[in-house]
Amino acid sequence: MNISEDELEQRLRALFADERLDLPPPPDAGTVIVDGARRRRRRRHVVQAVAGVAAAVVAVSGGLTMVRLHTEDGTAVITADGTGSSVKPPENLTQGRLPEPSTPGPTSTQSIQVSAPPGAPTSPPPRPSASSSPSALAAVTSGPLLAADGFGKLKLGMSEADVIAQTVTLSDAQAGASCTVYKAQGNGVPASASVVISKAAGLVVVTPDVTAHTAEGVGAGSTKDQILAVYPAAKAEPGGVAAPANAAADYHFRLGETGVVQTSLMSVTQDCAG
Amino acid sequence: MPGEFVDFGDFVQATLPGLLRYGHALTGNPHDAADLVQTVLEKIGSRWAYVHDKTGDPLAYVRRSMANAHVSRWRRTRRENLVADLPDTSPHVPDDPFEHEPLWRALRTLPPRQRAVMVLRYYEGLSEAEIAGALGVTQGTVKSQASKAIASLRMKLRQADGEGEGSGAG
Repeated sequence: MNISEDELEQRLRALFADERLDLPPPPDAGTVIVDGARRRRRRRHVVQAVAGVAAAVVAVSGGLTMVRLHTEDGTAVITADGTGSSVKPPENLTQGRLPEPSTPGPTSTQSIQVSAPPGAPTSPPPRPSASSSPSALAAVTSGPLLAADGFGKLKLGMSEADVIAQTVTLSDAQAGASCTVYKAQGNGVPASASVVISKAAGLVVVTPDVTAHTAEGVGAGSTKDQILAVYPAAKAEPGGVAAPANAAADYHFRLGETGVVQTSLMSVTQDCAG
Repeated sequence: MPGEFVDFGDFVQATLPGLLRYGHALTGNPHDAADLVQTVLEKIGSRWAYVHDKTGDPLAYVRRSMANAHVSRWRRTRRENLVADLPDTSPHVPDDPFEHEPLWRALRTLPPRQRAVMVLRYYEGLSEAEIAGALGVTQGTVKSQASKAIASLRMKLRQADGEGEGSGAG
């Protein structure tokens, strides 16, 4: 029997309208799907954070090159640190060029210009001889403390075995080429966090699930200006601001409409991105 | 943002029955349908605020995503599916209410994109232009895929009828 095209179309419509196509949803399907969506989003944020490390590493290594070049010239690359309590001896500032204590020097490093753009009213100019004004800002202490060297008992550089020895459990592993992203929780951490562990460099990234604050009082709700005031060497990056935590690590603050919404600590040297 | 997920949860509750039915039509079996719906909804839920604000019609967006995910997934696993299709009487095949429906079986032999075109046309009632937009192909491709699918279905049905009547046609 040869069926006409019209008849076939009718049969297709009838088949697709058949009530036996109905599939009853499992009772908990909605919850399962919403949970799955949440998990996917969390992973994406962690992956974005790791991807952000690539940009940060490039920026930092560029910055280090500048530091060396400028240091050889005797220029004040370290003024960035000088805004806070550690004041550099003036002779470091005067070698090679005259100090300009009231306005940032135009040929200083990029980080200095970012921290105190000329004429910007909200950022106090670096004054090497005076203790300047970050103290005027309200320190944020909400959420857990993310220290410059780690989170709770987790310290940057720890191997996976070291981490587990700190009564921290690692789960939801997502392995990459040289690094693995985990969910870390347990007694050893103040709150659950996403961590990235490199085979070569150990723990390189910690991102607490709730917005953590730093010892310097930057945390949930801090504005970009506040971050720049507290960390004069901070630099804008896509989605937020990166600031040196110490010589080995940077803080990465993700900024939302309400200010800082996520705080991460990342090793400067790591092989997880790029 | 918890509120966002509350909203997404409501959306899932309201649309799940229809999406499972649509997935059943697209994939041809209940398990793949559930899998497809869950995968696509989870992906979309993870960026719900964006989908909700930018697409205007999240449900249409979900359905288009399902059609596309089905096409690309079957492209990846096609060989397995073709092989698995051969032993129709295999005992572990789940109960399918259309198992003995010749048109349903004929649809199962279509390449995924042709099947998606049939579903979008006769299940969704979309025009050629709308199908082209949904699948990201040209209208010419939709036309040719539809015409190949129709020809193939007609042939399969003729074969099935022939086998049923013992006339050996085709």
